[in-house]
Amino acid sequence: MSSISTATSSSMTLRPPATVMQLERMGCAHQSRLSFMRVLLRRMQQEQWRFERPVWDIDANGIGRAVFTAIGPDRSYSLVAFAHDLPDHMRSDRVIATAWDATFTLFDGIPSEADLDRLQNNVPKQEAGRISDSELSLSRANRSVRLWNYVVDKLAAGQQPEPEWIDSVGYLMRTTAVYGSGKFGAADRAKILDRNWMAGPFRLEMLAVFLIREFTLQLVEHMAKAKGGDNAVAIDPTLRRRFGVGNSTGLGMAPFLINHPMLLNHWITARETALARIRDIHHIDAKDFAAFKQFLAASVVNAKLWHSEHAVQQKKLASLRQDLQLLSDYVGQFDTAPESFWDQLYQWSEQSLSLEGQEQLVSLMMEPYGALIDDLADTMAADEQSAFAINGSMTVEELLTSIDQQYAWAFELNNQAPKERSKFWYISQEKLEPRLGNRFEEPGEEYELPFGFGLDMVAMADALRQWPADTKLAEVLLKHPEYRHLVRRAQLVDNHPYAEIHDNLLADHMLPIDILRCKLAFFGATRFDPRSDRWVRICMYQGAPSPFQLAESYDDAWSYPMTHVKPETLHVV
Amino acid sequence: MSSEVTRYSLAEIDATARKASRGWGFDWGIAEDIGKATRHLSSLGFPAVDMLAQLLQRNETRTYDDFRPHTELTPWQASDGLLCPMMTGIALSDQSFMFANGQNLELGPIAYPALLVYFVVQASKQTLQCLTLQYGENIIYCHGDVIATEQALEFPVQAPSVVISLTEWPTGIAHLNPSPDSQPVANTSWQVLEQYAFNMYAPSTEQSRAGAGSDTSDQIE
Repeated sequence: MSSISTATSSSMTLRPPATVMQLERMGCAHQSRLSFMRVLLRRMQQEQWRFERPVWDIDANGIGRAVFTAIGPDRSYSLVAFAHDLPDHMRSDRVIATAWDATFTLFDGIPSEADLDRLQNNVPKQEAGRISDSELSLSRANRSVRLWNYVVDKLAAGQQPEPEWIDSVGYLMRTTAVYGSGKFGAADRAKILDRNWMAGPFRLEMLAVFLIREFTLQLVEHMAKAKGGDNAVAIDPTLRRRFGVGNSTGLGMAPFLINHPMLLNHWITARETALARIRDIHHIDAKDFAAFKQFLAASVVNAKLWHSEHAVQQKKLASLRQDLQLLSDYVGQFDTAPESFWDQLYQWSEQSLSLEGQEQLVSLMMEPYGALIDDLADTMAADEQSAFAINGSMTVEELLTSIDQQYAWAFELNNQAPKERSKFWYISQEKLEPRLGNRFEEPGEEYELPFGFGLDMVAMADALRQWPADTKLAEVLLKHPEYRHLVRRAQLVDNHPYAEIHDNLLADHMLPIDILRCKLAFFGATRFDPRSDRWVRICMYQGAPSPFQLAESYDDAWSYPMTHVKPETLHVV
Repeated sequence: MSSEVTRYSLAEIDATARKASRGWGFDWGIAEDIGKATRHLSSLGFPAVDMLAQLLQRNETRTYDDFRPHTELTPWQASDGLLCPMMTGIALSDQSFMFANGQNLELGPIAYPALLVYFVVQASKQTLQCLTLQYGENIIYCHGDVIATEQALEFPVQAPSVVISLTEWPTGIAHLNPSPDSQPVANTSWQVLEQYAFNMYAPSTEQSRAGAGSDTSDQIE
């Protein structure tokens, strides 16, 4: 198995793509220090961002609009929220829904009354409306009916909600889509490229969700006040952090990582470089080892609190809990870390833990080492245009050499077996959303999206072996334009080893939720709860401080249930 | 052409041009290039969506082999006499190494020659050379992402010939700067692209919709 040296140290090697890019392992990814939510909050805290609520114009029925503004050193961004009165029978998380409990846009700056009026005519319509260069995202959310009503009733009666109730759902509202990057008229990504770290991946979308979370908390308190009058109370600050924002994500998100291979490469490279730097540490400070143990204890609690009704996830959770016990027992043998312990521990995990446990360990090992790895967050954006043009001077032989190496996994597929081709991806007429069909049971194969990269790359390579080896690709592509997207991808993968998922995306055993999990873990999501093999519910920002607490009381460990960790638990490990 | 316009983001222009091209029948990789070209030219203020819509319609009865360039000929020519600027641009970008050898490129009759600008930019970036694109009285200088012209550009329906050549970067002429802003697009042209794009979408079936996302019943938690 090959390994990849990093540019920063000749002694470090990264885990090879053949290991890291398998879909099953990608489907075991966990949030980490490099996850976008954590990077966002860390940077906003470092820069002492301020937050204001300049508009709160919501009536006793919960209808109206509000504005939350984040004020940074260079720019301000405002979440414009519209609260609606949605009848229960119209509440749907499907992307094909047409009405929601709340709708949002992230405004670039501070909106005027005229801006708010314009947005009020468009944002509640979501895809059916139009936003403009002044807006950076478009999103909507639905209430968790059970928790929402419970919290309103409790607060209205002057009581606090029970922590167990909050934890059982984790959020008051869940977003069902967060659109950015030029969708529905919003500002193109090119407009924010000069904004320093805010130009990083999904920074603005994560900011929108962070502010949505605060909106949901203030709205539930507003509704309790409307119901209970003077008896009503606000949510206790100690309980407030337990509320996150839910998210319901379906197949629509899955093609993103497939369609943005350079971005995927950069995300994975950053994580793998972080892991390599840590495995390369020779002497481990006692305080870092102690911090690791604390995070490990918190992850044990997190795994206990993490529930799913889906059989696949239940099995994975059982493995994770068992892995964390094994890991705790193993680490507990050491009062101080031996030399090069992180490398030893990782190698032990490969022999002793399931993929869930191995990937959890990767995230945990990063936790004590912000000073060593946090800079990698700045390497996770991608200039995709830079690798778009095809190098037509490359020869057939050069391309084949690259494909044979980068797509070795694909040559092991049985391209004649129906199970390797049983699925096909397409875009539905109905809502212009990606879908997954069964090739042998459903019509529509002629609309197939070209996601069978493994099989297609092998087929192209077999055909190209008939060409003279020194033929330039420009000549081939003029005669065979059907290879063009494959050649572009192969040339990109040649320089970006983590750009391609090393699995057949058409195979009958392929689980789209594995793609979703990988992406959502990079966002910083927790509590993955698949509801089928193709859609998942998650929680975002659970445990995070509120915007109004951020400047004074930030704790980067918020994404672990540290507050649940009792001191005696720490001594178990 | 209707005077009614809607502003579209560059991302929307890219995606819709790509899908329309695929829906027209171009291969995936070609459609990707057309999307990027339409996006970039729109950012320069070119009526790229209008030109693409008209180009796709004019190509309705033609096939790839009718309008792709025969690069073994001088000048490059199409089998049916009129080069497609997108196919020609893709070929010249793929063969940009010829410019590094100091070679010029002559093209025969071609539709919408202004659409070549994106591809000359790509060739310039790949070869690190300053290139000019000349059709009629129009001369466009490309050096990497920087573009300059001596006069207001024309966007003719076709040109009898085009020359792309190595040159020195001129001084004292106006640069065309790409804008990241949304661009006004004629509704009629956009509708043409959307109609072609629609060809690549599959009719939904109940079977395919099942499990794609949650439904109302999931609210009963």
